[in-house]
Amino acid sequence: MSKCLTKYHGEIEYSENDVVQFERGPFGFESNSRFIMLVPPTMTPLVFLQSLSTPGLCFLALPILVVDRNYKLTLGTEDRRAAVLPVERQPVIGEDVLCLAILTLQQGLPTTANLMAPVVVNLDNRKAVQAISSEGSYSHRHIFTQAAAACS
Amino acid sequence: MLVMRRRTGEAVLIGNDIEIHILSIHRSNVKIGIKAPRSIPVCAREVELVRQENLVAALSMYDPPAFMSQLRQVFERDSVQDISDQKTDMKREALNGKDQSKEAPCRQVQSPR
Repeated sequence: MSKCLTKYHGEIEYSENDVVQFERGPFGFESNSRFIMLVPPTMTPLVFLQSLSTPGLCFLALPILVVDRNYKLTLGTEDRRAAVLPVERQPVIGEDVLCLAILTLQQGLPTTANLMAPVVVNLDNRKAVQAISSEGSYSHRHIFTQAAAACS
Repeated sequence: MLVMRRRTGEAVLIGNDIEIHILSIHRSNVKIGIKAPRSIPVCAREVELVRQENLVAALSMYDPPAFMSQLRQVFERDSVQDISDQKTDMKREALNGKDQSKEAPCRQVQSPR
């Protein structure tokens, strides 16, 4: 077991089996390629995507079907290759992959979810990619709740 | 915005150093070739949008109890099902997959302080 410092959860222990590995980290954070997903039981279904190399980097995320129950995942061939997924078909959420939408919380503004570029995690091997959807109509700022974000 | 029409094989020049070539057109898809100095970053617009959004998302500092109560309100508003059932179902499906042998690599932790 290894230890890491987290943004919201103090110091935690994790094993290599917990690590989600990006070929290249999320856009803007390409050098952060190793993350773990933290799921406090009382905060279901919220997922904290915590960087292992940068303690202060932790994205809040929700399973994408929680944000949009009809979400259609369309990954380009390059993204399927990056997540080591079969190239001949689209992956199925919940069977092949876990699909998360990163949330943005800003003081005084509605909380939004990035449906344009979900984080896709291969359930077999934990390879991950932030994939920009080939489907043109999803927003990078899908309003999740109209209420102003609960920010400190 | 400067608007012009181009056919396959034609090009657009921007300044002295940038060329945009229309390589092929197939249905609603255009293949574009871009010649530019390395010092000028070139990327699809969505990439830059997502990069900016990730940066803002990374700066989010949230208040756990207030945010959880917002989440619960959203679920109450959106569904007539029992909230805990829906969240459990969605969590189980989204995180663990329909095939229970494929465990999602999630770490259970205490709620943040």
